[in-house]
Order: sequence, then C-alpha cells, then structure tokens
Amino acid sequence: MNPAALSAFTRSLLFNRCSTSSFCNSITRNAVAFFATAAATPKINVNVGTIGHIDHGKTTLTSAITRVQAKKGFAKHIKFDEIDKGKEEKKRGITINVAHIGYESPLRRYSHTDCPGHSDFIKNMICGTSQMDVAVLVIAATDGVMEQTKEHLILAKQVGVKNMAIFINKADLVEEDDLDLVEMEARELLSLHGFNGDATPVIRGSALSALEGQDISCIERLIDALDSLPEPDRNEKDTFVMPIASKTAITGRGTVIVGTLERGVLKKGDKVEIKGDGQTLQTTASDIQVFGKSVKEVRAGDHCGVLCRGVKGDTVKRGMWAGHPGAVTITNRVKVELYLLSEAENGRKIGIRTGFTDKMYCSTWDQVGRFDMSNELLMPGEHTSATVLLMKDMPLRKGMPFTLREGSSKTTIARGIISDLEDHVAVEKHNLKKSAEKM
Amino acid sequence: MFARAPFVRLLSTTSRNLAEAEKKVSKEALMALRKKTGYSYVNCRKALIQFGENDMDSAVKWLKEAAAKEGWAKAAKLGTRVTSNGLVSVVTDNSTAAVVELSCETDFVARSGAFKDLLSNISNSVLAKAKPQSISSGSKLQEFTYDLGDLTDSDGKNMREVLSLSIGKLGENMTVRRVKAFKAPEGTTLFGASHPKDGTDDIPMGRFISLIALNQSSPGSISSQQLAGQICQHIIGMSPESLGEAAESVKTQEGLRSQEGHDPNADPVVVTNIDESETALLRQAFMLNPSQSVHEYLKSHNANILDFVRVELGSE
Repeated sequence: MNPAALSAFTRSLLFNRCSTSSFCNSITRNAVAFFATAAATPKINVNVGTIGHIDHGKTTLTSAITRVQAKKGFAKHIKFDEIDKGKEEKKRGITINVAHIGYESPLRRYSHTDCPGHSDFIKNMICGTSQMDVAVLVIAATDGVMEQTKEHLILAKQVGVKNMAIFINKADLVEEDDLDLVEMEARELLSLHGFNGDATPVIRGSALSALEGQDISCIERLIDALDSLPEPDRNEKDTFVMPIASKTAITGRGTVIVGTLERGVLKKGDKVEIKGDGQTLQTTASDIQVFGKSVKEVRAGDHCGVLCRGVKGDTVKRGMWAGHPGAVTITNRVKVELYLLSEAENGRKIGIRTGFTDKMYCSTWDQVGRFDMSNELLMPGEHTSATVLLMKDMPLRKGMPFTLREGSSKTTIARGIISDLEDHVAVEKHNLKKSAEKM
Repeated sequence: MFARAPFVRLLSTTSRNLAEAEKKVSKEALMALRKKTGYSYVNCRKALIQFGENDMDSAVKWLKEAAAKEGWAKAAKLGTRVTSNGLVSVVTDNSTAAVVELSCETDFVARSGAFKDLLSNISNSVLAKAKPQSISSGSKLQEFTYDLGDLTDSDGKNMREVLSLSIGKLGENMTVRRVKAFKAPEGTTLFGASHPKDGTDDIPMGRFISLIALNQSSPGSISSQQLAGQICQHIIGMSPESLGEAAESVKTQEGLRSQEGHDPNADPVVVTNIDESETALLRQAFMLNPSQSVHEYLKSHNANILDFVRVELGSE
C-alpha cells in the first residue's frame, strides 16, 4: 500500500466509523494490522501540494519527482499525462477531482497533490480527501511571479499551510541575475501573505531536464528541502476516547457501553468519564470484553464493551463519548467549514440561506443545528465557513467530519469539518434562532 | 514539447553572448523596469539590452509593443483550452443593464484583481453602448446581444485587443461567453445582484447573477435598493423558471417538526423546510421569510416585478 492510498484509506475510516457494521470492524481490524507494520518504520507522513500557474511546470515537476525517486526505489514513476488526467471518481456522491501521488525519502513519506483550483481543493479538504501540510510554489523563471500568484498563497494560508518551499523552474533558460530577482520577488510576496519569506527554501532547477534524466540534482535538493521543514503537528495523544454506539444495563453491576475506540488505550480499572447530551458522568472500567472475552486492555480501532460501574442505564445514550477524565470536550457551539453537495452529487437543487436549521450527523450522534454562515447564501457545489449552534452540549473535536441530512427527504445534502470549538451558549426553550440572535 | 527545448536553449545562449558583448544590465534597472511595467524580467532584460539604461521611455514603449504581440500569440496558442471557471457580472443604470460572462481556466485567475478589472472594463463598455439604444413598448425586458469586436474601452481601444493583452498577462485562455444588454419598460428600474459577492466596489460579480425590473407605487418600510437586493438573492437561491401569476392565496409550508436525536421524550424542534418543486417566482415561498410568498412580500412593500433574469456561470 503506497502512502497516497494510506492517506485515502485512513480518511475513509472516518466515514465508516459512524456505522457499527461488521464490515466496518473488518476494516478497522485490517487498519490496526497495517499500522502495527508501519510502526516499525520511523517515517512520518507529510502532505505536500504543488501550487502555481498552470504553465509554470507543476505537473512536470510532480512527474519528475516520481521519476527521480523511483530510480532510488522510493516511488512509482507517474508519467506526465497520467497526472494531468486527474482521476475523476464518484465516491459516496463526492467527485474527487485531484490526483494523488506518493513518494518517499530516506526520512519521510510524502502524499502529493497537484493543486488544480481553489474551490476544488477546499472542497476536497472538507470532504476528507485532501490535505496540505507543505506547499511547493512553482514559478517559471521566464515569467516570474504572476498576477494570480497571490491567490495561490491565499489558498495555502486558508488551508493551514505553515511551511513552504519555492521551486524556480526553467532556470536553465534565464540569466543568473534574473533568477536572483525572481527569487527576491517571490520571498517578498510570501512575507506579504503571512509566511516567513526569508526562511523559505528556494530551489532553482529545470523540472523538464530532471524528467528527461539530464540533471536530477534540483529534485534531490527539493526533497532535501522538504525533509528539512518542521514536522507537522498531528495531535496524536494516548488518551482514550470512544464514541458510544449502544449500551446495555446490567442489574446490580452497572451499564455496558459498546463502541469502537477512536484514540488511545483503555485498561481495566481505568477511570472513565462519559460526556454528552448535556451530561458528565464519572465511572470506572470494571471489565472490558472483546467478542465475549474479557481482556486487560483495548486500543484504537478495537470494538469492545466496557462495563461502567455504578452507572444507571437510562442516563447513558448513544452519541455520548467515553474517555479518560478530561479527554472529551463538549460544547454546543463550533466553527465549521461546510460543503453543500451539488445537484450532480445528489445534493439539493436550490441554495440554503444563513440560519438554515437541520439535522447534523457526527460520530455516533445526531442533533438539530442552526448554521449561521459567513455568506448570506450557499449554493449547491459551494463551500463556506459557518458557526453552528446545537440544542445540547455534545462531544466535539477539531478536525472531525460531519454530514447534514435534509429533514424531509433524509438525504445527505452537505459535508463538513469542525474547524474550531467555541464556548457553550444557553439555549432557551428549544429556540435555536433566539439564542443565536442574542450573540 | 521536447523538440522545442534545444531551440529555446540555443536562443538563450545567443542572448547570453550578446549580453556579454554589448553591455552589462544592472539588477537595479531590471527591478525599476519590472516595477514600472509589470512585465517579466526576461523581457525587461531584452528591452534594456536594446535601448540601454538611459533610455527608459523607449524600453517601456518596446515592452508594451512586445506585450501586445505576445498577447495575440498567446491567445492564439491557448485558444483551444477549456475555460470552465470565471465570473458573471451585472451592471445597471436606471432602465439599462449589462450582463457579461467572462471565463478562464482556473479559479485562481478568476479571483485575481486583473481578471475582475477586465470584466469590469467590458461590462462598462456594454452599458455605455446600450444606454442610447431605443426600445419598443411592452411589459417585458428587451434583450440585446453584442459582439466583443464591436466594443471599445474608455481609451477607445478595441475590446478584442484588450482581451488578448490580458491573456498574455495572465497566461490563461479566456473567453467572453455572454455579452448582453437589457432595457426595461418606462417607469421601471433595473436592479442586479451577484452570488458570491466577488465583484469590484462598483460592479457585482459572481458565479450567479440576477436582474429584476421593479416598480414601486409608493415607498415601503425598506428602500427599493434593499428590497431589490433581497428579491435578487431569492432568485439566485431558489432558481425560479418563470414569473408566474400573482395568486392571492398561496399555499406555504410550515417548518417540519423534527424529533431530537433518538430520544422519544425530547421536545420537537422546528427545522428549515421549503417546497423545492414550485418554479414560478411569485408563488414561491420567500427565502428570507418562508411563511410568505414572494408576491405577498412584494405587495406588502407596494412593489411589482415585471420581469427577471437569472444567469449561472457556464449555463447556456
């Protein structure tokens, strides 16, 4: 399995996690096996995107990287025309319109995206099929910085890129002085848009020469530059978190909660906190069972039942989360990035207006939420930022995906991702509109 | 692609020899010329080699001529490429309006200032040409279609030339797909709006625009501008296909009451629900207040719509 497939595979787990089918368990089991194997290798995964004007050599550079790294056994060579085609797929009603490519260096594994457009990338990020930790800005020395280069930087900033590299392409066709000036201008533009222009690595070369096998040193320098950039934050803590899929009360002993561990390790006897639905319960993991057998501990990906001592059955509900004390955050107000499915993706025909209220499905819970958008109107096929207000405090985490389903037809109309948690807001007499307007 | 490379390299080598033989071009001069004209360092270098650093005016003039040639060449070279991104604009002046659709290859270019300036330029040109146009009597909007070659900018330059210059500058194929003007009947005013609100300060631009012919017998509780903005937004969002009859008794739907989660004891909450099947504008539930029809809303503001236009980027 190559890194790009791993990235896509990991993303698909997020969607499957919402179901409790045996198919889901089968996938998570395989994932555990894979991760155990991967753990032997210390390489971290980094998501790289190429940005820049379409004729400045992004695709040639991408192909050249795979060719150079393939010769070293680190990649499969992707020919130029295979990248430009871009795999058009429909998966769960979403059009995935970016090409995914993987390669490695001695230190890292790279998932590479050739970035086709602003809206397309944002949409793919929201739907979980693309991410960018590092951006490589490709500039042809023959043209220099273009009028729309700043739009490429605005995209990089918007999707959370913190580190960049610059590849000055077609350098063999231009005088040294001109290369100096192009580099200077690129650094200035980066600094103007919130990046550290002076510290950004700049590689001069010719992607075409590298692709033809004439001079591959520029590709080697680019890979070295990528390896030298800071590691992306991954927030992978050991703390135990498990969404509750179902529960069973056992008279005299407590309640058994059932679910799949999303994160961390749980050991028999650990203190456990159950949160959500406006409640917080303290308990202990008296017993842990996997397929009917008691075990001493479970880890991320395991599907299990946990006996919670002293908890009454009617206080626990599907959708609440169990975790180590302090591990689960609950609130009823979040910032999100929202993508409204287009008609071709079985979405709506008409737009929605800010203040739209409908069912939000997240993890194992669903609840009515009100969406106050940064744009007055959102049309199918578009994305926006929004603030969501829920009736009750629910377990939420930055980066979690969710879907919106229309009340009348029960069809999925939007996908989104939690971008930030906000403070709790009191909702009076089930009136979301009134509470939202007070802020 | 591969055959071209050695030839280009040969030119580059020749250029380098010329530079060494004739004169050294300083970085300061290159920077100054780039800042002044916006053209690439490579072309700035060529201009300075030809005219020297003491004759900036000639260098600038040469660069502009070179840009014009490169623009036409680039427009010809890129002309077959698909332009699936872009913006639609709407600009109004009382009873005259212009609607222009300009498309390009990527939405990075569509978001840039240069692209919006070009679209603004073309839109104003269409409006200027349409204003003196006389109209026949009737209750509907009258529509005119213009050819890009018949338009000039405020400097008198042909708009086809302006387009090719922009293609040369931005490096992407661009197509003017729609050049329309509209005239409203006597006593009616035209209002336009876009979504998203991606335009300039003066001209709304977006993937969608709408245009309405509105008259108001007496002022309502909000201004005509505000009222028109709301109706235009509704038209964009709700996709009406016809104006429809002004029905007095309009059936509207309440928001559905939805059960909270899986808890059978939870109180119901009202969720948004609008009938998607109604396509006549006046009979649609008003997007901003679904308990009213558009007709009822207009009536409450003493207003009437005679006709409307809705355009989506890329539509026929």
